[in-house]
Amino acid sequence: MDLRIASYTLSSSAGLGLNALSEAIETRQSGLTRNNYQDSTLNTWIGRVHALDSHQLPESISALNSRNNRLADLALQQDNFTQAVLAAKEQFPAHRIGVIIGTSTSSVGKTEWGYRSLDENDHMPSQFEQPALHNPHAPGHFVAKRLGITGPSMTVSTACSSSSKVFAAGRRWLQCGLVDAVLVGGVDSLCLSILHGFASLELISPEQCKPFDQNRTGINIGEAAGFALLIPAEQHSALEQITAAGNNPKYAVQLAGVGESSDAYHMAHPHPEGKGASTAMRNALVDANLSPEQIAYANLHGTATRANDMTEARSLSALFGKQLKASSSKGWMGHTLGAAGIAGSVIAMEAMQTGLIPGTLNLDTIDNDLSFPIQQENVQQEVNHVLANSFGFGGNNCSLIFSKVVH
Amino acid sequence: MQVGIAGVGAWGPGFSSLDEYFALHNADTPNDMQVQQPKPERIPSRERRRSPLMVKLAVEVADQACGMANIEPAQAHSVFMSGVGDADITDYMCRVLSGPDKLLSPTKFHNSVHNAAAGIWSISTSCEKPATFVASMENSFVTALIESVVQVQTESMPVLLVMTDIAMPEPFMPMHPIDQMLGVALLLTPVHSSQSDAACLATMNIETQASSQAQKMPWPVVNASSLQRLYEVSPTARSLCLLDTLAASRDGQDVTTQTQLQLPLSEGIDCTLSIHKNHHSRGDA
Repeated sequence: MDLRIASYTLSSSAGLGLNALSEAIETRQSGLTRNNYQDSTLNTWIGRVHALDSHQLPESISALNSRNNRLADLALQQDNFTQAVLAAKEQFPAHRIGVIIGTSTSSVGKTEWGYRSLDENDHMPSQFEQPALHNPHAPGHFVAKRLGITGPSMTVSTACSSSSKVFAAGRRWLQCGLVDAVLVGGVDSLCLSILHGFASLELISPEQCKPFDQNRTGINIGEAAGFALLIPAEQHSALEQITAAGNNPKYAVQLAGVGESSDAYHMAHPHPEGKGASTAMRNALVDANLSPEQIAYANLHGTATRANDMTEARSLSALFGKQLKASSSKGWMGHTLGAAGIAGSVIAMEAMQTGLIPGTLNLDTIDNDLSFPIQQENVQQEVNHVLANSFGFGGNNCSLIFSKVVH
Repeated sequence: MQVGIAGVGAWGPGFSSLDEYFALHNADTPNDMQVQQPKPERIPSRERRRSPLMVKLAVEVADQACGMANIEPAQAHSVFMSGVGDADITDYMCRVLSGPDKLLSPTKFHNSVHNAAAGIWSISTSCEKPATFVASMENSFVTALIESVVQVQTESMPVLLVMTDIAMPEPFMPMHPIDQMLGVALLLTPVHSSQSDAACLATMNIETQASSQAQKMPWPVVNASSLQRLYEVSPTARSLCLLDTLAASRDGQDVTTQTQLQLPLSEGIDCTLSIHKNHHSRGDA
């Protein structure tokens, strides 16, 4: 199925919307700041979206207030994304549009707050008692409600691969004719569970993360929200209208291939040979009917843990030649977990639009043990096919390939 | 869209298999049936000791479904679902994090991801096929069923659907009043696959249509009256209405082979399930 990304957007600590993202990449300006999240005293850096501090939900939907939902709301308003969805609602009945959102934390930050003020019956104060927030589907529910979409809505939560797998799920829904269009995306926001959870694994870096660097010291946690609207190309006129209403990219983009796999190895460590990662990339290539040489750029999972960096490089070397430019963008925004898939996808799609391939911010001394060359500096070149990798806890892997549509 | 239902796993108050669930239909059972602790042998014992209840429940019913279908677990794609997720772990984490030192157990942290059961299932069965976790609040059962049927359709592969919701810790009770665990797994297969359709318990056809704005579709009543309350509050227990269509008729009356269920998928869509039971299926034995 020729499936198009009619519109897309991303907001993170590297900026709200695509223009801010491009500028941050071009000027190699990191959005990472010293940890000042609530009362977390961890010595680390975080990718915090400062505009969230003052962002409020409209009164009509204020019952769904959480940091995660506010971030989703803020991101929906960038790059005319909401306008694209409204255009889709003019083309298709509201119940023929689906919503699939990836997240790892949902609105657990709200649950954390509720637990700080449990009463004598062990119950949260009434303002926290929102069943629609304290469950995994909080972001999918919020996005559907906010935009008045009444078709099927689902949240995918497979840790850090969540918002890559939404593309795979969305494509399947469209292939089966369940819906006419699918809004996919990912939302994850800062919370104590993640900051202190990764601290318990001793993976949190006291400095800005340095993916693939000899002197790496671990990861930074970031928050981000991004969305994409999937429309089958056969819906010519609808696709045209919706595209024009949204971020209206210079080149049309196709979701060319998806590859999913499980490591079946360990809950928190990637397979040492990068077996599952290779399978996901290979499946995506086969699905896209492309050879490895045709991929110009790969946005890597590249979290800046030694285990990830080593295995990801190994899995790349098994498939790709040195012409592939491969980089991690975690130095700009940290690891945005359940939003990492959409973040990597949007960055890769933007590389096709601008011809600017991002290098790896904060990578100073390339680790000698890496079995694949990692792109350090930004580089300008024509890009027609891109790959985006996301690998999560539980050994859950997803690779996506996007292609520029050349007329 | 059409699929075969080749295997079913079930665990909950008063039953630890599909047959035991069916046995509750005809029995005069009290409303406070106890639920046993699952101890799935599929997970190596060292790992099992550290596994959360949610994971053990999921692996138990998943293994039952694969066993009944006689399908090697490593061959199936999997879709895991929980309406509320592992609230035991959320409860643990939030209590620790509301204290001063915030020192979490690393094992509990990596088991806090919603795909923990999917991960441990894939490790325990050496299954390298794609696995996902999905949720949709009160629509979780029908949404996960649709997601699984869509995967059977598009991938032409058997898909294992594993649904679990456990009893809630006190802070969650006012919002999600689920007081007992319940797990259900379905092994769904492509129809006309190499495995003969006749080996399936039933074939199921799924169609979707715009829901009528005028009237909300009431959920069917569940056969085992002792489970009606849990059925109304546990997103996983909503799947019992599908299990009921696979059951034998009462008292040796004529077997109804074709049943239809109309269930809400979302605010704007209903879903019609037409279940055609095979004559020699397990429930008739």
